Order: sequence, then C-alpha cells, then structure tokens
Amino acid sequence: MTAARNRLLQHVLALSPLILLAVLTAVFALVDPRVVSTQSLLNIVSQATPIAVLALGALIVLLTGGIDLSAGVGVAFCAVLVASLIDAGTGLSGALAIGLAVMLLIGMANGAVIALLKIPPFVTTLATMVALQGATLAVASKGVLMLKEPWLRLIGVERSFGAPNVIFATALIAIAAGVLMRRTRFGLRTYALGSDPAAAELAGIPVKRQTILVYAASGLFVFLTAFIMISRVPVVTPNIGGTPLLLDAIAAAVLGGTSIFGGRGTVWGTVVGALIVSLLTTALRIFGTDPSSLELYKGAIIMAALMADSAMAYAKARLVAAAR
Amino acid sequence: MARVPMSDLLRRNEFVLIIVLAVAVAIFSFVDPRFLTASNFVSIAQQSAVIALVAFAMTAVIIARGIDISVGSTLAFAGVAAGLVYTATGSAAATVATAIVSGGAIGLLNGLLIGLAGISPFIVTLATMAFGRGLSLSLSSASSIAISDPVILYAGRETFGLLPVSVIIAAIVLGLWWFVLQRTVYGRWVYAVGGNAEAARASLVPVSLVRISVYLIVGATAGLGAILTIGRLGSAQPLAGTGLEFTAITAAIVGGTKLSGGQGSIWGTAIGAILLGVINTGLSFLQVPQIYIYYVTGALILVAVLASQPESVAALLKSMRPKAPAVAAPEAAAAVSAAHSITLSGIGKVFPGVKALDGVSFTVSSGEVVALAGENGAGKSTLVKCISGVYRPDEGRIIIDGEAVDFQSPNDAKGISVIHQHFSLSPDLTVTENLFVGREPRNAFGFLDRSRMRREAQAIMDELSLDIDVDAEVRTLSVGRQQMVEIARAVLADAWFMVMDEPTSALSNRERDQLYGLMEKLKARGAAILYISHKMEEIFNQCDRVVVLRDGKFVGDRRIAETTEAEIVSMMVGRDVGDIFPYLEAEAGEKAIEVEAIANGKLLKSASLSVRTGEIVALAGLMGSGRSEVLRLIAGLEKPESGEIRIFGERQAGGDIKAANRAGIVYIPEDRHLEGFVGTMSIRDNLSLAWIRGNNRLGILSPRRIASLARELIGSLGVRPAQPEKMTIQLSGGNQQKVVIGKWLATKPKVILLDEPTRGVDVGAKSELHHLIARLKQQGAAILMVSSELPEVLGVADRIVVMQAGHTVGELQRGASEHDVMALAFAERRKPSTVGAAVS
Repeated sequence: MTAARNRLLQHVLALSPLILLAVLTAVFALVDPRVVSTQSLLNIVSQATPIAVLALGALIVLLTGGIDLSAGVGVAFCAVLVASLIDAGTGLSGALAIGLAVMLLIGMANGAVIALLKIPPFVTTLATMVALQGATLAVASKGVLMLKEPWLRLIGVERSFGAPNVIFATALIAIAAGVLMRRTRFGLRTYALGSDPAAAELAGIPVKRQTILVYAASGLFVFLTAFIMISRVPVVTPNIGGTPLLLDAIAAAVLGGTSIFGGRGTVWGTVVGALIVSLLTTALRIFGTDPSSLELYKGAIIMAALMADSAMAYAKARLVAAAR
Repeated sequence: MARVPMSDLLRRNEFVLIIVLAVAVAIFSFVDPRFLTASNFVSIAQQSAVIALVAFAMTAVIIARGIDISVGSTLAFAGVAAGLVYTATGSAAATVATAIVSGGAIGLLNGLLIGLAGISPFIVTLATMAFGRGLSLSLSSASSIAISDPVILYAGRETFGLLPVSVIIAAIVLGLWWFVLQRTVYGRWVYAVGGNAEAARASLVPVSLVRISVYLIVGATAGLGAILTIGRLGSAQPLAGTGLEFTAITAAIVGGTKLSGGQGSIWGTAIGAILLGVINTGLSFLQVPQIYIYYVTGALILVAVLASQPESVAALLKSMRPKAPAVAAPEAAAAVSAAHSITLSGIGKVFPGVKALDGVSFTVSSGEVVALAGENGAGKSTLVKCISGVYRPDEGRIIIDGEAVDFQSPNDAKGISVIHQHFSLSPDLTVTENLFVGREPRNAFGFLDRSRMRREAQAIMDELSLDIDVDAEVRTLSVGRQQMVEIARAVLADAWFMVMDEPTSALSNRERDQLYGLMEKLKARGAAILYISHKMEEIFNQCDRVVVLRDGKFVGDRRIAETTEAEIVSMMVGRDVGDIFPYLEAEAGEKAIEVEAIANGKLLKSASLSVRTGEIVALAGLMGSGRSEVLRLIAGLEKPESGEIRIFGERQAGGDIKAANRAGIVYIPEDRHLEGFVGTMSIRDNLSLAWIRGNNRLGILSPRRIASLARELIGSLGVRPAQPEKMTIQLSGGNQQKVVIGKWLATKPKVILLDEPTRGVDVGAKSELHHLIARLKQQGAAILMVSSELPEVLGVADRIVVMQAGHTVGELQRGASEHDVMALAFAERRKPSTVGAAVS
C-alpha cells in the first residue's frame, strides 16, 4: 500500500533533476520555439561543458560537506598560467603538465590545511581564493593573450558528427568521474566521509588523507575546466572563470540533487544540473533579456532551486520517518 | 585592583591585536615618515569606516553562528535603489531611507530563508549575492547614477572638526553595538543562539527571530554603508562594495570572532578593521603591488584563525612527533573459531579530578557472554573505550591471548569491535557499502569489486539469518536493523570480541528476540561478547557470567548460575542509599500537575498522573517507555495529541513553552550538552539566561543585579569553582547540572520537571544535587522526576509512577521495593507489539 507509493515517490525524487530539465525545456520551447532549434540545443550543451566539469569538482567537495571557494578563481589562474607558459615558448603539453601539477598542489595544500589544522573549508579556500586572485594578476602581467594552438582548436572548436568535440571530451570526463565516484575506493570513502565523519573514522578510513585527496581532486577538475575554457575561446584574460562560474557550478551541483551537508549527490545529476543552468542562460538570451539582468534572473532561479531542495529534503525526511 | 597576570593579558585577543597594530604602524612610519601624519590617519580611518560599519554587524551575524557573504552586493543594490529614488524625487530624506530599507529588505530575505526555511546561511547569501548584484546592474543599466545633493553626500565626504563624519558615524555605531551586545537582553540572546541554539530555545529565547533580525540588521547596515559610499564617490555605482563581504568577515575573524559561533567581541572587530586599513594603506605607501596586499590579507586570515584555535596547532605538532611503536594485537586468526581470550589486569584511568577506573581485572574467553553491570557513572563506558583503543589506560595491562597489547588508536584494536549505542554507520550508503567501507575489496584493475561486495554481504546476512536488503540505504532501516548491520560488519571484519553497549535499549520486542538469536549464533562461531545492560532479566537469561563495577572499581565476578538478582543489585549499589539519595519530609499541598490519558501520537500512548506541591513523584520505566515524553508534553515542548493537562487546576492547551513557563513550569532536560546550557557562555550568563526575560528595563540589563543573582545562586547551589566568569563548558558534569538547575531556580518555579537529573554525575555531586532538590520540595515546589536509576527513584520519591510501553501501568507508594518497580516495568502487556513501530 503506502510502501509502494513511497517507493514510487522515491524514484520520482531521485529523477527530479531530469524532470526539471524536461519541464523547463518544454516551457521555454512553448514561449519561444527558437530555444529548441538544433543550433540552440548544441549551443546549450557546449556552454554547459565548463560548468559541468567545474561542478563535478564541486560535487566531490560538497559530498564531504566541504566547499572549495577557490575553484572559480583557480580556473582563471590556471588558464592564465598555461597561456603565459605557451606564450613564453613552452610547448602545449609541457604547459598543460605544469598547469595540472600546480593545480593539484594547490588543491592538496587546501586539503592539508583543512585536514591537519582543522580550519573550516570555507575560511581556508577563501584565503586561497584571495591569494589566487593576486597570483592571477601577477601572471597575467601581459594582459590579454591569444592562443593559436591547433590541438586546442581541435578539441574546443572543431566538430565531429555535427557536434563540437568539446562535448565528447566533457562526456568522457563525466564518465571517468562516474567511474571514480562509483567504482573506486576513493569514491566510496568520499561518500562515507560526508555522510557521517565520525562513522567514517570508526570504519577505519584515513580521514585526513581522504580529505587531502578530495581537495586535490577538486584541483584536477579546476585544471580540466581551465583546459576546456581555453580550448573553446582562444582569448585568455584574467576575467575568465572566476566567482560567477563557481556560482554556476555550485548551482548545477545543487540543482542536480547534491546536498550541501554532504553524503548525497550523483555525477549524472550534476551534469543534468549544468545543462539546466546553461539552458536558463541561453533561453534568457534568446528571449532578448538585457545582458545586465542575466545575473539577476540566474540568482532568482538558483534561490528558487534551493527552496525546492529544502522542500525535497523535508519530503525525504518524511519518507524515512514513514518507512521506520 | 587585582593584578592581571601577563599570560592572561596575552590571551586577550584585543591586546595582541593592538600590539600587532602598533608594530605595523611603527614599521611603516620607519620606512616612510609620511605615513605618520595626521592627514594619513584620517584617510585610513575614512577608508576603514564603511568596512568597520559592516564588519560590526557581521560580527553579530557570526556570533549568532551565521555568515553573510551578500553584504557587498546588498550595498551596491541599496546604493542603486537610493540613486533611482533620488533621480525620481530629488528628496534627500527619501533617498537615505530607501538605501537603508532596501538593504534591510535583502537582509530580511536572507533572514527568512535562513531562520525560517532553515537553509544554510552560506548558500542562501551566496545566492542573494548573485541576486543583489544582478538587481543593481539591471536597475542601473550597468552605469553609475550621479548624485549631487550635499545633504546626501554630507556623511560620506565632510568632516566635523578634524574628524570625518563617516568615522564619527562608525564610532557611534561601535558604541551602540557594544551596548547592545553587552548590556541588553537581545545581545545575550545573540550569544546564546550562536553558542547552542537548542539550549537557547529551551531557555525560551526566540531563536528564529534572533536569526532573522541579525541578517536584517546587517542588510540595513549595508544600506547605511551605501550612503557613505555614495558620499565618497559622488555617485551610486552598481559595482560598489565588491569584495566588501570578504574584508568584513576578515576584520571580524582577525578581531577574534569565531566562526563556530557564540564568541566574539565588537572591539576586536573594530581593531581588526583598522589593522586591515593600516596594512592596506601601508603596503600601498611602500608601493607594494596590489597582489602582495592580497597575499598578506590571505595570510592574515589563516594566522588569525590559527591563533584563535591553538589546540589544533598543538594537535598537529603532537601528531608529527614520532609515535612509539604500537604493539598491535596479535593477528586475529582468519578462522574465528580459534579460541581467544582477553584479560584485563588492574586497569585504571584518571581524568582531571576523577578516578574513572581503578583496578579493574577480569577475563572474557571465546564462546561466552559476560555481562558488565553497574550504575550509570560506574565507569562502564570508560572501560569500553580503554578496551577498544579510544582511550589508553593509565594503569594496568590488557592481555590478548597471553600477550600484552598497547592500543594507540581504535585502528590498532584488531579483532575487537564495539556495537555502539550511537550507531557508527554512514546513513547515506547502502548496507553493502557500509559493510565494506574502510576495507574495500578491489579487482585486478584497482576498481571496487562491487559484485564481490554484494555477494559476500548477502552471504553474511544468510549466515546470520538476517532478513535485510543489502541494497537498501542504511538511513531507511529501523534502529534495530541498523544495529544488526553493525554486528554483521563486525563479523565480516573477523572480530572475535564484541562489546555491546545496551543494545536492546531502543529495540522492539521482535528485534530484541532476533538479537538474542544472533548472539547465540555468534557464540557458536567462537565469539566472546561483553554485554552491557541494566536489565536484570537480560543478564540472567542471556549471559554466562556477570562482572560488576561500582564507582570505577571492580566489585566482583559471578557465574550467573551461582548468583541472584538481589546479590547483583547489592553489589552495584553497595552503600547506604540514604546517604546519596536523601529524603526530607514535607507537607504535600494542592494538586500542581494533573495529567489525564495524554498521548503524543508516537511512543506515548496514555499517561495519567498527578503531583502535589511539596512532593517528588518519580517516573520509572525502561528507556523508550515514554517517560521523557510525559515531561516534554507538560513542559510545552510537544503538543499532546489527546488527553488533558491541568496545572494548578488550569487547563493547558499544550505545545507552548512560554505559556507553560508563565504557569510556573520549568523543564530540566536529559541531555545537558544539547539543551541545558550554552557552553561558550560564562556561568553568570547561563544562570541569568532565562531570568533576564522577565527582569530587564526596556530590554536593558542591569549588570549589578545579574552579578548579585549569580553570586547568590553559585553560593546556594555550591557551584565549584565559584567563579562567575568561568566558561560553563569547562566545569565538571555535576557543576554543569547545578548551573542548569540554577538557571531555572532563578525564575522561581512552582513546578519542576527533571529528566535524569544526575546522569553522568559522580556520587558526591549526586548527593548534593538531591539535597538541593529535596530543599526545593520543602519550599513547596511540585517535582516530577524521570530517572533510570532505581536507587535514586526509591530513595527520593514520595510516590513512584511506573510506565511501560507508552502507558502508565501503576503507582507505588514510598517504601516500595526494587522488585515491585521492576515487576511493573517489565510486565509484558497483553498486546506485545506496542513497543516501537513495526519493522518496515
């Protein structure tokens, strides 16, 4: 009787990001059919790629109940760093390797301060964010840089089967992230750490090491996001990425069903969340919204999503109480 | 005046900050003499004014355990809104009012989402940060709005005598905040909400209202900041205030306000804001590039937070020291069936002021279930922690299979598993994941071997005859089933020695019988079980031997077949009960509490009782029999579903703490740490927390009256140390409980509800607390007490009401025996499945 209904409701709740995406697409298509033109749909998916990749990094950190505020500025820093290295004559692969190594180190440093000194993630990554802001300006002393790397063009701009290659690259990253979170020890332990830190410790998980690894993973995804951004747009300035992108990424993760209290969230949900954020931006543009008002509407929509999230958490709590 | 020792002075954050400030000023002046000019300082002060203004309000938000990262955007939005009103009306008054109201509106939005909807402050203000910035860009079409009215610009650019007006405003606001936080009821509430929201709620503090108001104030303050900013710039700009949130939070943190809530001072924030201003200006004077200013600011945050939590640095240094080589337990043989034994020899453990364990010695071997019995506070939990490696014993040895072991951490205690009262499973993971997390099997490619995990999980469930879905999320399981998953986990980990800490206290009868069956299986597998229980029936039916502790000392070890309940009880109590639990005669008066057939729709089915003035009535029964629920309903913490509550003959609607308090009822909760007191507040502030509601003049406190109240209560309760300034968290359990009781005594209650008043308190403090309670009875209070300790119930109560499975099942007069109470409490009801809900 009610058990079956509860189970059905649970499935519906689990699929809610997908349902939200479908409903929004349908509503926007009714308002203006141009939103669902092939060109626009491809555009939505391409625009979603950096958001999705950064959101996957945010997902991993949020799963532990933490936050990485430095991720947005980190994208700008990494992009400027890689671009400057290429500009200074380092080869593409060398520049990317250095960029990756630096971002991993920064992530590990964040994790080490959080895990070993027990400083709240919010404060730690806030300090890192401020420091990276400075470092970005220092590295970008030349201002705007143009990258003319054919390999980057191949990934970011050129197309196969009619779709930009960057979409396929992002799909690969998402699949790898899915395997990481569901099929490895790292993934399982990340969920356990966020679900109940005390229980995780009792289960014998090396909590400190795991925390450092989690923030290092965040650094990895920051690097991948920067890579996608510079391959899509060859003009590199200190203004790419930054806090607006971080907000989009966190919104994507939360819209995708990630709990900011840790322990709950999925890779596919986060990708769907990124598509929702991108759909909103694109639809608002097509409707002819003044660019200066974009942020306003996005902020309002994110808040609505948060309220829906807490309503859903309430519904879930009721379900659990009913199941007991 | 008493001399303040230097070390105390150094611990004062403000003092250290002033030294740092002086050093910074000295260095900058030495490098560039132009730094040390009056005009430069005026300019620093002017730059810092807006930051300081916002940082003051931010301090209150952080003290209330919140955060607001939307203030920069709020300032921009308030400025733009004011600019638009100015363009439309030209009225200075309307412009200024708009700025403050629109700032307050965003603050109110934050407050409602956080205080009522319960969304995390960080996420809410992150969203309003984007929203506010978007709003100001949209309203202003991303361009600045020029304002020329000198009245509006006055506050931001003019000086009054030598001082800029903005600095004077900041100073006035500083004074106001100091007064509000130190001398008003509201200020106390802000600290209480941040220190312990549950305790604040229980002390009748309007928690949601306090939370909403601090965000409202910080928003309105950002609006005021917008006017000052407009004055300085001559226009309203949509990008004003960028980064203000971080600067303001930094000023507060540098000033010693703790992100964990409940602690912080407005003076510290003021100095923090000035310090940031000095460093910023100083570094620009030295022509240091902006990026290094960023680095310095970033480093400053880290240093400030570290300085405020020296314990974490100490812990890190300690963990870096080379560890003594751990003597690990002998490899738990893969075959669980091999015989093992664990011997405790003279175990002792000392905590500051208490010898928690003293000379405990006994042995447990494979295939036997040994009960560990003792009153609350006898040292059972401490002993378990020593065995499982959480604590290291200070004396004695633990010997496993003939070899002495020395556990450094729970990870060393291989083969030993504690089934906790509080579960140690991850609620969001599935049963299978929980069984293997921490020791995950991996396949040849290094990936999780999920099919093997699932297979083995199913196998262990089958082997233990447990009917549990291995793919279910643990959070969806009933408490009893979670416990079985935990036992299965221990079996999978090859644990041969299991400690079960009151495992049946939260189980339904059916689950309990399943657990007994499971224990038989474990025994047959060669496991040794140490079984902690208060229930004589269990000890005699399920265990082979019983070990008794009393006051941390080993009292005896008996074979179940060779002992009786009476012997065990006398071993547990072991002293004249009258000494600890005094009984004073008093004249019983009118009926104070009358309860008829109340139910809460959950555990509590039907309870009826009455208590007269000058009388102590004890509610006895097993855990989960609905005792605490009766108290909570009378106290107005829950609303009754049916039944009637009358206080001094007046019918109570129920569900209203304030109405219950007006009727003279106070409730002293079971969990002191959760609901009883605010740990970060001083003894004095905790004692006066409820009292100040009715004893203030227009919300303003009288420090003199509070001090004399605290002095009186500390004296009459015998709180030690008798230092009103001492933080309550630093007191011993018994003294904390005295503070909790004292907080309510200050309100002169007529009806006192006590839930486990002496749990976790040592024997001496128990006796003191009960003398105190008995005196209250003599003074005419009506007292209803819940206790799990039978000697306490039998010793102090005038009458005993026994509960079983949510019903009051009988009443006993003073002089009843332990056996009488147990007979009622254990009697199976005709419909046995009423305990707990059926398993899903």
